[in-house]
Amino acid sequence: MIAQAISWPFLSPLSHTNATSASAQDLAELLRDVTEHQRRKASDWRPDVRARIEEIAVECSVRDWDNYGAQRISEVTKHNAQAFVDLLPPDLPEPQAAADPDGEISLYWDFGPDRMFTASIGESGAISYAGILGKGVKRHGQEPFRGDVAKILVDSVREVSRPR
Amino acid sequence: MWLRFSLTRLGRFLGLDNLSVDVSGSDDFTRFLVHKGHLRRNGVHLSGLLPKYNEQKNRWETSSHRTGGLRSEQIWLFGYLYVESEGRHIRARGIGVVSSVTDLGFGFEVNGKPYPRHADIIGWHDEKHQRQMKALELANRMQREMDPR
Repeated sequence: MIAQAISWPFLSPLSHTNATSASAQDLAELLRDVTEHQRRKASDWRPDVRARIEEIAVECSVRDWDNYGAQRISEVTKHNAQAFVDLLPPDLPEPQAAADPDGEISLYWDFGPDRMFTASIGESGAISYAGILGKGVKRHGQEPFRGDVAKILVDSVREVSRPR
Repeated sequence: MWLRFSLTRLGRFLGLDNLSVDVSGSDDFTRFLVHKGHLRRNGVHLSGLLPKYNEQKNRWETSSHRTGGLRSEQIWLFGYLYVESEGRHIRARGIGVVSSVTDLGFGFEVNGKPYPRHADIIGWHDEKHQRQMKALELANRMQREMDPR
């Protein structure tokens, strides 16, 4: 409780200690855990993307939201997209969220020309994905969404985001 | 109606008086982008290219315009006059050449409706991931120009 109430940057120096007693070392380990937990929490983009999906669902809740005849985003699609985001590893790069004209919500990782990946989900829960993972390297397909994230999706995002 | 208009001063300015029925691969085309989700960093988002389903024609299609022979200011004027409407505001335009469409296996159907320079990008697959893949490839080949207004 005390550790949670203290901002983590201030705890960081305390987690590195030369103390040798067992209790001092336990305390240092506990502080290391707390700072690591807070660091991960601070860099977790998933709440932001969830919030963005919430906004998209409101903006695109009526048909023709794009003025080109797009389908509306349904509540089911929104929930599916948020559930999908919750299961993505937080150490992946942060995606952009967008609405597709067929009423699905897509996540998009953009690292410039020839390095783009997208995955979309709709009411059915199936995840359609496509990506350009380097010049001339294409990958696309569909995976069922059954409460976990298919390995090929995670691998593809890691591949497309790898520095060249 | 369009024939008469094409001979007016504005029609001639927009190059409608000598508009060829045939399109060559080197001709330019424009996709007007009317939603913020259609834009990505320095480029066109695939969402701005993904097709809508035309139930009358029973096919997926992406609306575009051939712009060969027009200068940039003429293309923008064309967009303001014929693409914008109440509630539809142009934000940018995606620019490409027709061969980048046809090289991906699409058809570029010049149909002149609802405007003489209108053309549909057709030949999209029914499977979503196939459409995403093609839209990504097309977006990867296109440039973007923001609305100068």
